Amino acid sequence: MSGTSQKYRNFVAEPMGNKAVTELAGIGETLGGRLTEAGFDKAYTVLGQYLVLKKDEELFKDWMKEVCHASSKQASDCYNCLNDWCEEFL
Amino acid sequence: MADVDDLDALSNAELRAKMLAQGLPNIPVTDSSRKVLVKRLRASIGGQASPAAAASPKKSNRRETLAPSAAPAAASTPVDKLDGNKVAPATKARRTITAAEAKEAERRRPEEPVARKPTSTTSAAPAIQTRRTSTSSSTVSEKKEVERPAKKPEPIAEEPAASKRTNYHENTLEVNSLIVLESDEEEDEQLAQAADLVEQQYAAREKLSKPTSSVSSTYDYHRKPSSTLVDPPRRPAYEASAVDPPRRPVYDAPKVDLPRRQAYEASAAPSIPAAKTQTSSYDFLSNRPGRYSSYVRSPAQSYVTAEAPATSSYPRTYANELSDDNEAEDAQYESDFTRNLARLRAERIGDRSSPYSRRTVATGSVGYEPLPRRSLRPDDNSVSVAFGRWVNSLEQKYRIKSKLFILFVVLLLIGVYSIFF
Repeated sequence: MSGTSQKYRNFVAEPMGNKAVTELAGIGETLGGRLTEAGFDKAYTVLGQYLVLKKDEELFKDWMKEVCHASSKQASDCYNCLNDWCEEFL
Repeated sequence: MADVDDLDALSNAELRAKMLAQGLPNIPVTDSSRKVLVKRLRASIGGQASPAAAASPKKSNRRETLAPSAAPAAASTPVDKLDGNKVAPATKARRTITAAEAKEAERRRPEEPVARKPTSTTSAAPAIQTRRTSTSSSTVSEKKEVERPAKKPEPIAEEPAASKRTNYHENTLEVNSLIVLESDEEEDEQLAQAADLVEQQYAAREKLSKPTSSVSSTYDYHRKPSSTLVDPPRRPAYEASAVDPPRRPVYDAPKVDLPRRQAYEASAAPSIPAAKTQTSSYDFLSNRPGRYSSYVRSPAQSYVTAEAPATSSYPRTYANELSDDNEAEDAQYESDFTRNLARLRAERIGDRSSPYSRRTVATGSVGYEPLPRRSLRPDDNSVSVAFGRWVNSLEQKYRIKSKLFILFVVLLLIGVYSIFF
């Protein structure tokens, strides 16, 4: 596994608060726009979906691919980001 | 198929109940997660898609991503019809793969949806699976296939898969050499087996050759009836005058000490002086270097042992080469030599009465008595001892005792004469 990105470290380092969805690792402007269109404009909404799916990696990645057409890497980065954040703060 | 098709018509609660009935995890069905869950449920009902992956995603995901092409192709059209309202075909393709992480896997995906759904894993898969015999990919793909139906029947389903796999290995290893290149472990196993086989053959050959190499013993067996002198356990070197045992030309010929050999040859073949000289020189050579020379001397030996059966010469040399009896015999003679040497040394050292000993020289004509070292001498500083030494020294130097005796006699005579006259 490669090293973590700065975006990931920044997100996991503190409570997410009202951070935008683009603050999540693996979510850029493009995917952020699609997520916002789908109603997931904040990071905590994505976190909510992640929790609704019971932290199921498979389901969450599928959901990411479904909603914003994320790639496997992007979905994986976002999942890892949320998962580690939850382990830290939840 | 009807169940699969009407999943979208179900309400969230019904969908959740169906998921539970299917053995999927109890996940709340929401509008946002409905599609994902419907897909999962459809795959689960299909019989092979990743319910196990849904249940225990982390473990099985990696395997699935490792073998993305293993999924068989079928039943892609109904899926497209059902899901096709919003989702693009490319996304569908991605969706069908549960845990696709690599880009390469993503590339293959358009083919996989076809492969994922179908219930006919066994019918469609074999063609692909048989081709993939490489250890990593094949095992993973088979496990994936097994894990799909449900999480619980896993162990039951794995066994036939394993047996299948072994069959593939055997077939491909024996028939298809291209596939052998993929499977390193199998190749290694075969190489190891071949190596073992060769080792076993070599060991068997060794076992066979040892009896043949110990021709000496067999030959002894032939020769023994003729003489009981065949194998004296220890033959001292100074028994050269003893008649050579008949075993010697057979077995000991190369190793026997020179004098005996010559005596024997002189008696056995006196009409061949050239042969004698040859063997004698040869014996010098052979006795010096040791066992390796025994192999070289085979021609001479064959000539020497012309009295012996001709067949015995070569095996004998070979036996001498390989058997340890020669070493034992060498060791025997060496031990004799060392024993004799030790005995001579002991005699020389112990023979203090011989005229060549230092003490006799000292006590001889010179009359010098060797004294121990001063440091070892007792401290005799008495006047009498000193006087005695002085007297001794004078006596040694001037023979003063005899002169004193003569002087005493003369004085005695003078005294007697003066008394009587």
